Amino acid sequence: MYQYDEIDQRLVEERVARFRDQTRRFLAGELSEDDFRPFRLQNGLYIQRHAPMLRVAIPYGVLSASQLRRLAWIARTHDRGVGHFTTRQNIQYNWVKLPEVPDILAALAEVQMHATQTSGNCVRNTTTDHFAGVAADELVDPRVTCELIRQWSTGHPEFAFLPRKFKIAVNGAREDRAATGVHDIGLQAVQDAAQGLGYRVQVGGGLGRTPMVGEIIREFLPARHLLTYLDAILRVYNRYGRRDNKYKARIKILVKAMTVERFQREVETEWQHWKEGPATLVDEEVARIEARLKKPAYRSLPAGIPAALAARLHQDTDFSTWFRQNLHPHKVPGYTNVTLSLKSPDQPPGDATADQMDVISDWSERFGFGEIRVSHEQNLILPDVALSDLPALYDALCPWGLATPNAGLLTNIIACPGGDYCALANARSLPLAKALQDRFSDAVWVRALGLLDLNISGCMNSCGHHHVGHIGILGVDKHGREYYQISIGGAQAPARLGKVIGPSLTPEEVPDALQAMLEVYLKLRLNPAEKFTDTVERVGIVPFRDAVYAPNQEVACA
Amino acid sequence: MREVVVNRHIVPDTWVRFSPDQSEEGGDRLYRLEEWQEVRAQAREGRVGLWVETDQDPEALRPHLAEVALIAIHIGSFTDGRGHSLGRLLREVYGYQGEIRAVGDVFQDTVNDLERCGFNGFLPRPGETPANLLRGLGLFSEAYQISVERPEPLFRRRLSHGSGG
Repeated sequence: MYQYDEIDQRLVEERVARFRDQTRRFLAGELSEDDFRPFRLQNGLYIQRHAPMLRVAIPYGVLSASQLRRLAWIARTHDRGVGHFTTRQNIQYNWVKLPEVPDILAALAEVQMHATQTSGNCVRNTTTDHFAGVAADELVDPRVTCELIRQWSTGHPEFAFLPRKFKIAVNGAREDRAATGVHDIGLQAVQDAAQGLGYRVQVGGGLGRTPMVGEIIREFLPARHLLTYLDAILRVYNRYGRRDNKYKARIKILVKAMTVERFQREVETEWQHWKEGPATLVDEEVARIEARLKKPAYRSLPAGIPAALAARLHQDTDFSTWFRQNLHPHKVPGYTNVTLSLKSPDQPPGDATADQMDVISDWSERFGFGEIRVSHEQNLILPDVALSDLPALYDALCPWGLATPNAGLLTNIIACPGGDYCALANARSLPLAKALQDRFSDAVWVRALGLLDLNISGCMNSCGHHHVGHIGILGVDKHGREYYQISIGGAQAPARLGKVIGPSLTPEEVPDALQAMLEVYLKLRLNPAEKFTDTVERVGIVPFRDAVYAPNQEVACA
Repeated sequence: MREVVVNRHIVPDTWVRFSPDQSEEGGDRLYRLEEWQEVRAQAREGRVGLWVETDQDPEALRPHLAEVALIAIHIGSFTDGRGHSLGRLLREVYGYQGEIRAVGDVFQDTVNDLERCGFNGFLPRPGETPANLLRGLGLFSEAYQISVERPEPLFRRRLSHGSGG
């Protein structure tokens, strides 16, 4: 994580003081609900179904042990002992009380955290690859870029009232684990032999009601121009984005309406006024941020599998299953990255209890360098674990229900909080997720399906990212009853939007429908390496649709 | 006379909206751009200001920037952020030196950002007071971004003060 200096600290404290004053005036009746709303949203506070919900920013998904302990403390003190990690690498508390929120923000500020701009029509928390800085396939560490964007966007005076929310994602690895194609701005780091570091700039992607994959408006933006170019994009959007209809207000609609060529010209023209100006980055600032991103002091370890680990892998099938499923290659020999699944059958997807957060903080110090990552798949990650420590870590995880070996699998269900909590939702997500966990409890069969993203959103706002799920489920409301629309063939990267297979289904029908489609997939796939979504891409949705809507019909083998 | 905040001082508001049936005598007069283009050839006493909406194209104002002492940007709803961009463009791209005044849905919680975007005059909305507006200004001791208020980003100040590392 980036360590604040005294100025960063002062700014976050001044922000808390301002919100404390606004909350006081609201509670005293001096500030109306309508006037207070945008300001509370910009400080992370929604009014929800049962209670206000507070969304705390976890900038680019990186936490220190002491920060996670503070999140646990907040869950215990101000909520019901649980926090929900979101698809945007943030954490939400569903039971906070409005008069206590300034105190919660003050408690966050003490550990260099905030809830700034986690909601509202402004630039939101920047997201990135959850393996940033530790992935073996990394070209550039995206955390420096993310921190530059965090600082640039925090309290930006010009862009606090955009037509709509604005989400930026940065990816620095070969594999795009940040879903840059479906963000308002997606930045892919590029290392150019002659010009050094730069970004490929994609604009106008997004999910929601009108899902779109972004358009590339610049193949290579030299890194020093990052902030002036972002200013130019945002200014064009702020001035010309639609404000008459919130469903047509995202930048993707503007890019489509203008055409990407004209949008690009507008941005370039605007940029000329600011290019090479004072906001042009200097090497010293990049170096300053790099120095403040605490880098682990890795030991020099042998690259192979240590003997004790090999023995455990040989003896213990559960352990070896977890080992195969929940680890991700590390760039430093002898180390690995471990996914702690928050998708055990008994827990709502993405939820962690205060006690779990506390023990995870302890493990991050015992087995790593005191750092934890939040993935947009709503899991927590311990980076920097020595291979030789894996048996001890696994034994620690098991009693806490954090060793479910399902990272990347069907049961790693990605889901928004849905109608149980969210006032916007048309349908509940959590009971459906539970029903699917129960139906697909045969872990061997689930593993045989290979990598499969199953995403559930309770409404069109698409917080569960159902459009880019290999299987996406969208909750809809029909005459006051919950139904679910199923789409298949989506992918996060390269971004691809799923196709709806047919009329929506009742909650009872969904598990059967998935079962039928998965059986079709097992018959049709060319080999076990062909993912569900790639089979759909190859053969089309018809065999899957027929399996769901004409269940008696036999599917011919390919 | 009602009061406004200009350059962080509470002062009487001397500006009156132009109306065609009014006799043209002295005093500070606010015109819509079309109104001003129609009457600008006629000599008159008093200062001239323009009244524009947040979607005003600043390019159309360019020929008049030297002759107007004030540009009043009408913010219909405080959640319309276009005025913020217009303020910055007028100051930082077009070099406008006169007063830029926020009128409309202007209250204590909106003025800080507007000031950073180049506004130096604020007419409080009905029910709001100039004293409250003053309380809403200058809330933050630093800022990361460049703006009219601070033409250099924080990272350049950090460099020159040696607080980096």
